[in-house]
Amino acid sequence: MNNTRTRTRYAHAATVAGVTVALTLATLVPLAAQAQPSAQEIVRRLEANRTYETSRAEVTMIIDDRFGERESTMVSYSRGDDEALIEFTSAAERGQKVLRTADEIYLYYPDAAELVRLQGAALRESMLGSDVSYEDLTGGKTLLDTYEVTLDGTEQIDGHRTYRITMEARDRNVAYPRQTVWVDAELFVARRSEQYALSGRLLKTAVMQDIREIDGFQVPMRTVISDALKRNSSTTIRIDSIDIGVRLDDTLFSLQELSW
Amino acid sequence: MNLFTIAWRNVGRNLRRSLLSGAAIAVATMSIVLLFSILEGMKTDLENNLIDFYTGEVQLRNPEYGRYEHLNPLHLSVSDAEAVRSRVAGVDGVTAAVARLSVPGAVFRNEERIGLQAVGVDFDREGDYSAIGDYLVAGSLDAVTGGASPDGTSGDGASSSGPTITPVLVGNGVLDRLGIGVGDTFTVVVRTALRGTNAMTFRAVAVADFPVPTLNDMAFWAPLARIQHLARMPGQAGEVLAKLDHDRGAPSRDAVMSAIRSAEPDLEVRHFTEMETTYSFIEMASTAYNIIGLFFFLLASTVIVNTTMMVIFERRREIGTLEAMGMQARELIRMFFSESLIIGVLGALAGLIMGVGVALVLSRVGINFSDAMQGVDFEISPVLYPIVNLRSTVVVFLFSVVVSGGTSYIPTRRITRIEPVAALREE
Amino acid sequence: MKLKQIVSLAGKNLLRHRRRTIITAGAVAVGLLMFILVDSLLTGIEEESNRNLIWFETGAAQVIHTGYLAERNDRPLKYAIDDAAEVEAELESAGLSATSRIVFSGELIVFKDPFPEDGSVMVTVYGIDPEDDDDVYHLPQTVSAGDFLEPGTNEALLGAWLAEDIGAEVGYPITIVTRTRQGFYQTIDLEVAGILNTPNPVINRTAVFMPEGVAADYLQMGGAATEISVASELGRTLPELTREMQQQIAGAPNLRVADWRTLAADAVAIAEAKESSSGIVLLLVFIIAAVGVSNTVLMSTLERTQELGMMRAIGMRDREVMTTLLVEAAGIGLLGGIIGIVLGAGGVALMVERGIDYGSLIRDTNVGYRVTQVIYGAWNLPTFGRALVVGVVISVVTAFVPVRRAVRMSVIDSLRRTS
Repeated sequence: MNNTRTRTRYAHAATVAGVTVALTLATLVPLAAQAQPSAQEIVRRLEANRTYETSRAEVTMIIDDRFGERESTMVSYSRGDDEALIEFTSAAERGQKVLRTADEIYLYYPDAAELVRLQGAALRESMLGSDVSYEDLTGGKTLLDTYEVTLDGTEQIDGHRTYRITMEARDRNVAYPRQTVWVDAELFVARRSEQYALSGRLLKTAVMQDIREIDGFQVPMRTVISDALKRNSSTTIRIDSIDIGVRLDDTLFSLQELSW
Repeated sequence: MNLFTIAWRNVGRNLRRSLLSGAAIAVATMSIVLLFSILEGMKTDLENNLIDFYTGEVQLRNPEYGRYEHLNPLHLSVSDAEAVRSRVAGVDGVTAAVARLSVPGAVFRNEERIGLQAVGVDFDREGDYSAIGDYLVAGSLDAVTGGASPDGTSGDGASSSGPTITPVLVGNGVLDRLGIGVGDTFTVVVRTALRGTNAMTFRAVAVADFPVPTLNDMAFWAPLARIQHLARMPGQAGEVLAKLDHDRGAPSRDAVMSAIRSAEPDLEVRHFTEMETTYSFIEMASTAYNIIGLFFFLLASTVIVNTTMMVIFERRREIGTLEAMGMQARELIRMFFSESLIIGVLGALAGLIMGVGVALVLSRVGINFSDAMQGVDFEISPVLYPIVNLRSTVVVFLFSVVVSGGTSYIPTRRITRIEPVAALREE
Repeated sequence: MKLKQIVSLAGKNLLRHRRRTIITAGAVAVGLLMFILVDSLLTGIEEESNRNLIWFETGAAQVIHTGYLAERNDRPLKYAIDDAAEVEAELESAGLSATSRIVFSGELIVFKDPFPEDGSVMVTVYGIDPEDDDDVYHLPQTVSAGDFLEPGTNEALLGAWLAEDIGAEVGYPITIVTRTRQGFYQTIDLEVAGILNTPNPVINRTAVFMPEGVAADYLQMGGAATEISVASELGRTLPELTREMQQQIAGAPNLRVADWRTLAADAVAIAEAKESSSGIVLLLVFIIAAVGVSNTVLMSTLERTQELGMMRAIGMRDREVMTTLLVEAAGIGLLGGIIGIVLGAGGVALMVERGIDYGSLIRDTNVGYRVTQVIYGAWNLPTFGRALVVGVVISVVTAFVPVRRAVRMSVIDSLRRTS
């Protein structure tokens, strides 16, 4: 008669203890999460978020300049950091393709009979007359390799908490000696970036909007890039649809794709 | 006795002396005739180059273009170009009109970006307008107009299944800059009128020696339709150029200009003399040469003064005799003046004939400046052809006579100072 | 007769017939005067175009990086002279006037208000040392509005036509966008301190000037400059100058000397075209002058046929007579030549100092830009010497034929001849 009552009492205590531990653990974990990550950590997660093993996207680019607004549409494929293929679908550029591999860019124009290869200084040409140059498309090195990053603090952008990261160029061969990027504290995707000249003057601004989760990645579906020095000049890049991790043909990023 | 007849006889009597004075005037006149012919040749050459290859005699273009010219706004074009062109060609007083589309582009070779100018022209019409065929040094216009061909073959490329290579005419400096030869291809990337980009591959099947060095290095001529396609400007042109009739019965320039303007009220219509071009500099240079011409005349006239003085000095005995015989000082002056005038006219005439002769020879052969012209950014040809015209001949002649007559007047006046008796006594 | 006697006889003859001597010498003088003046004017015009280059763009010669010349049109900063100050000091220690410059291209950006419109234009920017740039170049005299640069300030000078094109005035802010020597994007904010109106159209149309030190900082030059220019020295020819410069930089492996002709090959071609045409003009002037001189000498010789006969009649040998007359002719040529040279020197001095203002002779051209309206002459000393020699030679040569003919005549015939 004594044993039954004791066992019940132990079970009760154990349950209470177990719940307490669980509750404690539950409160401890969010506290740990609230400790601020380092700048390097933030940038690493930022880059991880935008490095797709493979992707396919349908994109609309809207270019606004002194003479008015115009739109181009394209399908863009990427593999890792180095390889990208852009195929234009809008009427004015139909069939044109841009292939990027490591350090080179090839342009395919249906009206021509050979490929145009851009190297060196030619990469500074702007793509389709927009505020995006071919140089902006090339990369290869990660941000952490090229820039020294520091965390300045947090700011609110559009009601979202972001980390403000300042990047100072380590390397000599980059165009922008300083950049600032505001990284969403939860999603680890950039909400805003600014590029500066050596004098500190703002040259370009990019604002990322409409961030959605797609295939496990946080993707800004709309990016507006503006030239700070040419006031009536801006470029909007709108992702109409995107698939990440999709299966892509091996030959997609080869010169064979660019043939007549 | 007619003073003039006496004067004439005197001239004949001292033939050697007359020849000497006349020779000075002749040489001066000849030099100036040559000088003005050369200048006229330069002016005409520049005009022709401007009219044929740059601005036309009359230029029609989109009225907004000028404001943004430095941005190369292709979209500010002349739409429905062929209709505009034929309307302009139909205006009374217009001898030829062409539509052209000039698009700047670049060839990317290794790390280099080589800038070129693609000029879309109607080759059939250009024969009348700029006589481009005259400037060919290799290939033929037929090769260009024969049609775009698929890669690898020549001849008609009716199907567009493969990539198309467009045959074009290039300036002969372009080949050097691209490092290619006749028959080779090159691909040009351009900004289109839609502010996008496009590229086209061309084959150099004809080479021209354009009269302007800059064109030689930068320009290539392609069929208008291909350039319209390249720049996404169907049916459009950058400009319509026209040449006017200068024959005697032709309508006046103002009449033609206003006729063109009323035919095309939506376009900006300008005459090439209204534009800021190198032509203005030539006008300035011609002023400089006018000054030099004046100098020449002064020089020649000092020679005449000198000669006349010598003559009078020499003939003082004769003068004394004539005065003693009762001739009035006034008549004496008139006689000597007539002599000078005769010599002046004959000398000027001789100089004129010689000058015109040399100028005519040079106008066939040309004066070759080409070594000096390398790299010059002027719109003048390296070989100049002097032009004999009214200004360089009749005007010079008249001026010559007036100057020689006028400057001899001064010394002849001194005749009145000669005392008959003293003169006669002198040896 | 001995030569001394002949000369003295010639001299006396000249003095005796003073009027004839003066008239004939006068012809020689005038002919040579014209030749000298036209030559001076044409040389002045040629020097003006050369000067435009030398005074504003290239200096007499420059020290540059060996890789720079081929890429000159792109104005690359990578082919720059390291330790520019040192090289400049070495040149100056050899007695040369030198200054360094940093030349680069960039985009000039202006904003509406105070400018009439937003705009951008590609320009060439010259980083100059405001204190010693005028040892070699001549910018300070061309300031047409505002002031020249002060060192260490963010100021700029604009070419007059550039200023007109964008609507710039003194005090307006401008921004230059360019890349540093290391490739970073860079912006330079400057205030327009002055506007330059030079005789050089390229400078007027595309140039912006700023203090070199400021440019060096913005462009991360690290003590380098793109060129060190040297001015010409009185008494030193161009090849001597470049040789001296070459000596001073002998140690440096990456540097070379280039004179202004090499640096501005395309502009020089225009000058050479002008040279051909002025050669023709000069030739024509020469012909006229020669004809004038011959004319007069001939006439005066012919006139003296009788006199010659007299001389022969009293026993002078033919050869002595000829010599006498030729010496006279030479004397006249010399006299006329000296007068011509003296007058010529006066005329050239006037043209060099004041120049010829042809502004009133040109109607209002449509060019829209003001161009210098004064042509200056130039001193061309060899021409003076040449003119003197030519004057004497022509006089003697043209006297030769009639004298010989006169001497060949029988004495009686020549005595019988009256003018």
